[in-house]
Amino acid sequence: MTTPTTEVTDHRLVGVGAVDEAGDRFDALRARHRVVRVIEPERSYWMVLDHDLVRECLQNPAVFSSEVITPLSPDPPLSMIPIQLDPPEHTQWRRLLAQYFSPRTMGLLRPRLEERTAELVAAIRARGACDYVEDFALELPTVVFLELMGLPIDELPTFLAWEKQALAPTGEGDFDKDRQIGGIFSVVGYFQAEIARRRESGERGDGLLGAMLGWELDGVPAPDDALVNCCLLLFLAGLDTVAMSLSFAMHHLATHDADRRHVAGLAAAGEPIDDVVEELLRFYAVPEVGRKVKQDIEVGGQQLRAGDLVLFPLVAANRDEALVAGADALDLTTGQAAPHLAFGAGPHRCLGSHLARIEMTVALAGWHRVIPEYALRPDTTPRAYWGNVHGIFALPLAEFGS
Amino acid sequence: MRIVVDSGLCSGHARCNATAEDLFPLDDLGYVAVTDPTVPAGQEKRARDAVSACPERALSLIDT
Ligand code: HEM
Ligand code: SF4
Repeated sequence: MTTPTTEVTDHRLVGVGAVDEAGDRFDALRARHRVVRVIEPERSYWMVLDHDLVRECLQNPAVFSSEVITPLSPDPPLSMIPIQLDPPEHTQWRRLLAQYFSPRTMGLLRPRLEERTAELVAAIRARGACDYVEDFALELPTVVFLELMGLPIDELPTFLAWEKQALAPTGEGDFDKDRQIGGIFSVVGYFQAEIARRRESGERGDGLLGAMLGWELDGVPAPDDALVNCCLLLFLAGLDTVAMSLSFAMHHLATHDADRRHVAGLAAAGEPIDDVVEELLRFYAVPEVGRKVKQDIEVGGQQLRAGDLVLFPLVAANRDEALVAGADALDLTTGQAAPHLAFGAGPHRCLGSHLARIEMTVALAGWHRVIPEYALRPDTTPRAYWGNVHGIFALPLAEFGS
Repeated sequence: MRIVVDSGLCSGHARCNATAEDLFPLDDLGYVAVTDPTVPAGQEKRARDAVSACPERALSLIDT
């Protein structure tokens, strides 16, 4: 039985506001509705707020296609590999990629991550203050990306600059398209040149990029332009997601003394903080994932039509009582992590989830071991932005204690 | 007690494995590859915790 369409006209996919607003802005709607039709001046789309429905839709790629992954780009100029492919084409790429992102393979990166975290934290401790976003959160995943791909670490400043261009919003929270495209073209140009260089030298070279040069699809070598496309997606998918998940986590801890002391206590004792990371990922899930409807279907009593776009704000699903009692509050001491959807669900489940988890645990444990005491720099109020990924503009931390 | 895997739903979150590594081994790609579905006596709680850790609801248990 479908019910009349529930239309919402005051919700916006893109915006800026207080840090907590990024996730809280779904709470009131979710309390009343499972699925709504959002009408904005420039676009309209369905929004699913219910945990079970989000999971079921994402598990059904035949109806919910990844051809469109955000209502912000309803006619994408390029299909990104593998995130915009549907099965069975998606399955081929995913099989090639998966072994390089398995929990075991990712575990091998842990020592390098610990080393880099220790260096960054020591420098910050010595300075006595930092902007966590710029000085730590953006840098760590970029180092990991270079390491994983098999690229020289001296490329770090270049990649950091491109990343900011391609992913960060302007001060008003808008995305300057020309600037973003400039950043993306720079990354594409880099990978084109690097792949050509490796092909000419006759040596595939190190890392995932080296392995990719030997990949075949249906017995035919994967074309270089597809490999460049895939490298670009790996660059876009793994940097600001990790950086911003870390930034929201640190903002929470900087503003909640008991939680900060809990994490610092675990870190000092050398106890695992995996459950802490899960709970922070759940409560501050940064991505809002989109799909395009391929055939008419009823979801939560609403009639969706072929061609409609759908948005799944994962933070809304993760704060649904259907997932776990008390889901609307953050609790670091439950002792059992909830099976949240911060990494999505279905065939496109975040390929980098095992890496992201290691990055988050190493980063948070490494910080709290050395800097157990800290607070927002007095007289500053960090601001957040939201869109496909939620973010924080800057997170000035100080008052590191003695 | 036996473990039942809906492999069509498993998408490789590996949360089952993070909860009870021995009962839920992974294949090389990181997807669950249960070799012995029988839950040894005394391991029922760990099996239950691992099953409820799966974000895809791909796992279930049946009493034998
Ligand atoms: C905390 C950090 C991260 C979060 C919250 C996150 C979240 C997500 C989500 C929700 C998706 C699914 C998108 C969809 O269904 O359309 C996804 C896909 C993906 N993520 Fe992540 N991600 C994170 C870190 C990473 C890292 C470190 C990498 C490593 C390079 C990565 C690589 C990917 C790739 C390649 C995909 C596409 C997978 C596919 O289409 O099969 N992510 N991520
Ligand atoms: S937690 Fe679920 S989805 Fe993940 S590997 Fe285990 S069975 Fe598969």
